[in-house]
Amino acid sequence: MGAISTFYQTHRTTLGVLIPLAFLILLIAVFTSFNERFLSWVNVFNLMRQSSILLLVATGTTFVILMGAIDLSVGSIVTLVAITAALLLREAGMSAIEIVAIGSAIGAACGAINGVLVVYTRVPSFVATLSTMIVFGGISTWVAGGANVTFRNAEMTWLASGKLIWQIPNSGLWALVIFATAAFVGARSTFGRALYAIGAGGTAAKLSGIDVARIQMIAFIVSGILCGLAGLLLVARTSTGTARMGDDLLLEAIAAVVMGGTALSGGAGGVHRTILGVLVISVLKNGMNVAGVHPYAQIGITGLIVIIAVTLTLDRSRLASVK
Amino acid sequence: MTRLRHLAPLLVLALLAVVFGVLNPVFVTPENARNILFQASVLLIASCGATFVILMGSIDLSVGAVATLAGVVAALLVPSLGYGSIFVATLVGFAIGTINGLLYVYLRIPSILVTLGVGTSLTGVILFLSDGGSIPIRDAEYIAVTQYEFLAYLPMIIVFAILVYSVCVLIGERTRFGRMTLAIGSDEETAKLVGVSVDYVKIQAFALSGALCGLCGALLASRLGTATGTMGDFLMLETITAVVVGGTAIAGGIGGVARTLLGVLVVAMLSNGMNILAVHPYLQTIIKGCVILLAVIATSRSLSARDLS
Amino acid sequence: MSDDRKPIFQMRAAAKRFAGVTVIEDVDLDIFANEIVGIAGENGAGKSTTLKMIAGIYSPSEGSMALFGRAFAPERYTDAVRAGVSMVFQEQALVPNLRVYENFFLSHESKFSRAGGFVDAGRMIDLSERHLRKLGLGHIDPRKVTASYEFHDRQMIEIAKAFVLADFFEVEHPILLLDEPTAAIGDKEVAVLFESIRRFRDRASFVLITHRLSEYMTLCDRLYVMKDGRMVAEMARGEFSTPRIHQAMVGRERDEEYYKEKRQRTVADSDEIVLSVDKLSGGHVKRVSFALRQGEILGIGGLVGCGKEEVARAVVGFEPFPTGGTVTIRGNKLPVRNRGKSCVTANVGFVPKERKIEGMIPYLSVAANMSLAALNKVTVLPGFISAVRESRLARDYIKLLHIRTTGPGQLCQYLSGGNQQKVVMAKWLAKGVDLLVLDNPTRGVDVGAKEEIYALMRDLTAKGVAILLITDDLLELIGLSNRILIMREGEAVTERPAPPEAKPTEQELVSFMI
Repeated sequence: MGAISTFYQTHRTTLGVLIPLAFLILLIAVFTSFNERFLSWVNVFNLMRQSSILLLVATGTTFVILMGAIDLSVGSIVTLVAITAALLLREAGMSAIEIVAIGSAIGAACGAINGVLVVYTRVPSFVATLSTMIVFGGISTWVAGGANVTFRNAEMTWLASGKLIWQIPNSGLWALVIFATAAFVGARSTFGRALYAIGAGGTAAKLSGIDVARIQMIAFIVSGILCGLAGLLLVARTSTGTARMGDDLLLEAIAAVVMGGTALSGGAGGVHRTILGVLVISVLKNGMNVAGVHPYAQIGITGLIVIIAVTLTLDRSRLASVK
Repeated sequence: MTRLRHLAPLLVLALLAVVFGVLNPVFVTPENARNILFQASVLLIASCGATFVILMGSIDLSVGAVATLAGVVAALLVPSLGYGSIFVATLVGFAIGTINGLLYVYLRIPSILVTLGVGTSLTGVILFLSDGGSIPIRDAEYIAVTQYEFLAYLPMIIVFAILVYSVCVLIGERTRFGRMTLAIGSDEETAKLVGVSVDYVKIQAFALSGALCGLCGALLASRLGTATGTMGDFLMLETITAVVVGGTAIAGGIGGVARTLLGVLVVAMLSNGMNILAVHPYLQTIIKGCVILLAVIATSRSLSARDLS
Repeated sequence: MSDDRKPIFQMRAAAKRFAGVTVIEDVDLDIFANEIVGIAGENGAGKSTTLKMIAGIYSPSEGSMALFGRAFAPERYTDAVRAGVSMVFQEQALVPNLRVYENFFLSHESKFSRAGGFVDAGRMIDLSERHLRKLGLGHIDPRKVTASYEFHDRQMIEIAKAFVLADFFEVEHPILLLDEPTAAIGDKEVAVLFESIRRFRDRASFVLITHRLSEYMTLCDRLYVMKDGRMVAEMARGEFSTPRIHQAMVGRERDEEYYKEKRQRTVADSDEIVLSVDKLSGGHVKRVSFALRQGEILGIGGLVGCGKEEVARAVVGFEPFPTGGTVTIRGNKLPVRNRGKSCVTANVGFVPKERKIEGMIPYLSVAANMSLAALNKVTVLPGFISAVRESRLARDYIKLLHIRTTGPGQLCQYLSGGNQQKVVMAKWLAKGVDLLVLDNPTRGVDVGAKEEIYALMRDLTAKGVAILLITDDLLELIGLSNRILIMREGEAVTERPAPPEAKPTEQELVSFMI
């Protein structure tokens, strides 16, 4: 066991990319063997469409995890924005642009609430966001009024399923563009550097003059906005808002981030790595659909795979004592 | 500060009684008191298990899923096993709790992730077993397990809850296990240094929590007369709220099972009061979310012993 | 003491290496029955490591130990405790929220269990009470929560625990290891502690480590002195005196070359006052005042716990810090709230003692660490870091400070202590500072790197940077400083100029410290 862990430690970064990549290839191979249509263009675009939402949420979550915190309310924020957007589209007949603006604003507000709680009270981020997860969830159910909210809006549908470039579904396009921007910001900006610093050594970062409070606020707000955008895409794709649409995203987002190689304790990995984790999960879900796996079994299998993947990729050297 | 921690839940309890009583006198009738206890019983059982986990400084987010699964399993087995299915349900909970503990300890994955992952996986199993719907229970005896009125006044479920609570208090205060959970939450490194088998205690705590959730699920099914796929969902938030409001620190190391009773009563009173006042269910959820936040803020202000120097 | 008595504990040719670095080497140590042995030495001499090996917390890389005539090789602390060796830790290895009797028997409760794991608390309490009374500690109630007792009582509790467990494991004559027990308590409590130790000597042996040399004089029957990881002297009572101990500990002349004393800048009254501290108070600190000019090095010395570190924290805004009084940088009074931010803006740099947690970020690269306080200097577009510029900055400082590293991209965790420290200093140089506060900057740094850091400090003062130096290393304090402030028990007891031609002696300063 000792020899294995030493090997693991020395080749940490390469393994960090190789393992999820290998997983991905394995999954693709397995699913293609079940059904060769898995690798068809149609399905690839399907995949893009389906993974765009998770990609957005996981990107935002990466920012938060990088600085050593966690945001349990991401799913609820997605749901809240989705439902509110659906309602506004049905009742107030707003244009897509207005909805996008409002959705982002709601997401930002939710993120700001999280930020304020984490920065100004001494509550650990997991408790603060556990509470907001419940509160936002409650607001969502209230807004939905106990029923699904359907609407019809050609602009919104185009936003998600239209094809701006070639045959690529728009949702995939937006998600990729935003992801690329976020990845660049994460890796190259002073904000990104500050995130790593806070996650890897909060005290040293603070003593070096980094405005920890401000950076934390920004990270939560960005995460909130990205969740808001995800919610908009979600509702645009299905033209329906339901009360618990975004709930599954929490575990999937965290798993994607961890699988991608960002340490749960923060300070290592990065936004650019998250796409790997998102792909693994999306391929898994898409593949199970194509292979005709029962929906209930899918949930069970996803949970299982997530645990296995996290086990293999979690960076334990940083965890002094595991809580 | 510690005195505040002890008194606060009592004060809150009194405050709630007064406020709700004033707003609607039905609140303070003996029937309603019995209702509150009835609702509180299931929560108490699950919260006792959760207390040990939180005392250690960990968290179990799978409590709802475990209870629901156990309840569904019990409901399915009632036709063939009668009350025996309660034992099976508890066993199922114990097994899942042990798995949680093993994953936590041996794979060194933080408890928040493990229990979130396991909990989510279980929903798949629940959906599969319940086929997305509910499983009605037609065995009158089984239903009587919780609803039978002991002494023509006290439903059995309250008796169960008190029994489980008492046993857990004893475990917490009088056994090595109880002592060690407190030690681990208070200062894990010292505990390890002086020879406490931290890993073993952690697994035991999760196993116990799982078993109690399992029991909870079976009793919930009995109380409701049916088992649904979401019946245990409320437990995740409410057990944590009850434990923290009762006075156990969210980071562990301070508190105990005995105090959880007060926290449970506060939560039960709150739900009951809001129902009587016909507060919108959505608003209720929001309020409950805020309560846990306030409780943690309030209790994290009283410094732990080490901070005093 | 007399040669025909056999020692109850023996350590022979012990060595300890951590990741290739030898911390102690070729150490022999004996402990006889009913005696109090001291181990003296500077910081980093190896005293604490030796103690931890006896306690089973570390295993020797080489050498052997014997206890009560049998081979002794504990794999963990609990093994040592079972064999009769207990340690009294600086911060007590007691779980704060457990009751005293629970702490006594933590992890050993199985001997008190009945069926089902239920513990017989009554018997544990009785046993605890009996022992506490026998030790003259009747005022401690085993039923109370440990955290409710003050520091000095908690120390007594830990000592009592050693006796309780020794009796429990049927060891007649335990050995208690005391790791700097007096560091955080006042004179009155020290007297009580020593009184107790003398009383307990008839049934146990003690090994003492302390920074107050006079305490060895007061308490010890025999004294070992360690220097640079080796045992350099063994003295019996009557043979040792404070100067002799000091000589053995330090054992070298103050080398004016080493501290670059010729480069010590003469400070003129025309030099601007950069830092002004007026009646600073709070915590342990009581009304400390001093001023520091451009290009001057003010050294603050004193025993552990004298308050010098709190003074440093107040100057840089590292919470918690004493808030009474005023701290002024270049005429601007520092606020209490968010002082840390104001300090960085006011060009104050801080090189903290806990390098790995407070000074630099081990998991980030050399370049990332160096640019941390000066991110705006390595950006191209506002807000975006240019890898090229950052790398160039890093290379410049690597060259300037002779930092041994594979390159700007290497993670700081792989650098040696001295090089890590240089990275921390480079961070502040990159930003540009008017005042640099250094807290034990050469702790855990090898001799060569120390010299380079001293040279760097002289370079900085030549450029007009003011330096506030907090250090436990007396020679360093004397060699580097323009002026020396000695603190004791929170107060500044003396301020003495230290020009190169008239440096004070260590004896002179030590007399103020104790």
